[in-house]
Amino acid sequence: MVVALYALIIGAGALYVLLFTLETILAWKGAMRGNGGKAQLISPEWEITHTLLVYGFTLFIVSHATLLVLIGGPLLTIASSIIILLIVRGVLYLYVGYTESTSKKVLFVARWLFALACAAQLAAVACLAYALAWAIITMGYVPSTSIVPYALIGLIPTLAICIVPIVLLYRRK
Amino acid sequence: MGDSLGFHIIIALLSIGIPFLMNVFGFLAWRRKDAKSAQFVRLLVRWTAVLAVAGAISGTVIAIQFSTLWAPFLAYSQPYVGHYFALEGYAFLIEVVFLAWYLAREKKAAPRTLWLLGLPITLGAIGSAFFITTINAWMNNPSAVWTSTTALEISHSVTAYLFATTVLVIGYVAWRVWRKKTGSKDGQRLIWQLGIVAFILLVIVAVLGDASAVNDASTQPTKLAAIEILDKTQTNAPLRIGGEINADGTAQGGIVLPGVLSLLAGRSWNYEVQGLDKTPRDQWPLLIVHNLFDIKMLIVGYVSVLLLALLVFRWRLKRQPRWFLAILAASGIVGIALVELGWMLTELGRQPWAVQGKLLVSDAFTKSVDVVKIGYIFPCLFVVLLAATLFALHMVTKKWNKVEVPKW
Repeated sequence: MVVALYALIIGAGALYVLLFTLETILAWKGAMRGNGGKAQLISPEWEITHTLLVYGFTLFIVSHATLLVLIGGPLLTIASSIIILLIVRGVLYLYVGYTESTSKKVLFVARWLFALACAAQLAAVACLAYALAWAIITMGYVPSTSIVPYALIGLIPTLAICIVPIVLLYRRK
Repeated sequence: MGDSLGFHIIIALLSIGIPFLMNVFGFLAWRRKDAKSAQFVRLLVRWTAVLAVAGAISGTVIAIQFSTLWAPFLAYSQPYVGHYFALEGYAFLIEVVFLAWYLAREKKAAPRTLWLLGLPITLGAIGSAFFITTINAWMNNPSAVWTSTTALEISHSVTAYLFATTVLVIGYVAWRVWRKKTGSKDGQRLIWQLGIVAFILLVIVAVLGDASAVNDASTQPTKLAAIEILDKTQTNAPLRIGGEINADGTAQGGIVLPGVLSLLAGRSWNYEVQGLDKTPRDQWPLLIVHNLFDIKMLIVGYVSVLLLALLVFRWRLKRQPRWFLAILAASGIVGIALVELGWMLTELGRQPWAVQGKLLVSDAFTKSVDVVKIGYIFPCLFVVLLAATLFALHMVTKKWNKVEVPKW
């Protein structure tokens, strides 16, 4: 059950990292080019990326709730950094993705800030994952697996429903 | 945390309500071959895409805040409702995957296909609300996960989200029609269609709200007593509009309607309603809930009159007068205000408990001192995120206007 739990959490996390890394690369390419790439940046598939983070993180916090009571306080700083980066990056995403501004200077600054925020968010998530993994290993923490059956039962119909659209969406890329 | 939830509720309710309207008008576009409805749906789906971005951000922020600030609550609730958090993730995934697919297929697909693609978006959004509200209902009534409170809270809140969104969209369409001065036939028709949807939803929300109050009388009597500032347990209990609780714990002032609370809560004048006297003073909820409830009921009355007037104007004049369009436009926000007030009543009315009778808020919250230092940053950031969301909504609407050239 523990293996299944970590497979779900790490699987979602790894997919998130993979997709978000691609998004970050696109953001950097867009910033360096100075124009273009906007259509790729706000492509519908990217909506899925953060859902994977929410899913993986939710599974983690629910199954490691008693661990978080102990380490939640010390984690607050890094967690707050991620929150700030998430919001800043989100604001810049909405601006860069939807603006029709013709001011090259503003767009240039916004694109670079967005690219930096993406990279910083990726780094912050990696730091959080490292800190959590370190805490789990050093404390020998055994997570609660009571949600695993529900998570697996939920996964089957979700995959059955979503597999066709996901394959069709990403095949276009 | 309140600021995060307050913001997320707005995004969440719109993320449920807008896809619902997408389905309603998508159905009209398909069955009636109505090009105007199809045009409107294309605007709604763009709004949904923007809201999904904002919702994913605020949802992640809430998950992170929960894991650090409310870790003791998570640890306590995990054995009872932990799996609902996980299942919520699936519902959100279904919503977002189908939204992405919808956007990718939009230009090529037939109206029927688009309508069918829109259904999982709405069902996924409602599913997310279903799982999260189940957890909240358990916090209100922890005797079991599935109780009458669960069914009533889910149905009441979800229909309230649909209602609030519809009222907001009516306000937006009314503003557009009002601005054109001449008054357009298409816009008037759209307001009428939305008005019917809103009126039906209002009736359902009202019936469910009444059922919730009856249920609260037996499952959350202290909350009901605080909302109605009922000082003593009694039959023939009065309904008090306005008024306050004195230092000695007795209620005074306001408009008192004798027996009405017993009638509403128990369907009988002789029904005994539990008062605040049965609850130790240190466990009383914040009594501001009484004022919030009065404000909520005032808004409910206002919006009911507004929708009735909309139907009457359509019936008598076949259109909405220009001055009334201005009122409708200005009133678009009241539905969201009602939902926010409803959640404030739910949460403040349960104080000092995080889980009614089981876990105090003070025990559910982290003891970390860092919270105070960083807590003020988040409301500011949420204001910026809200502004960015409104900006993106404005931009997609502007682009839609250019491409579609709607006549309203």
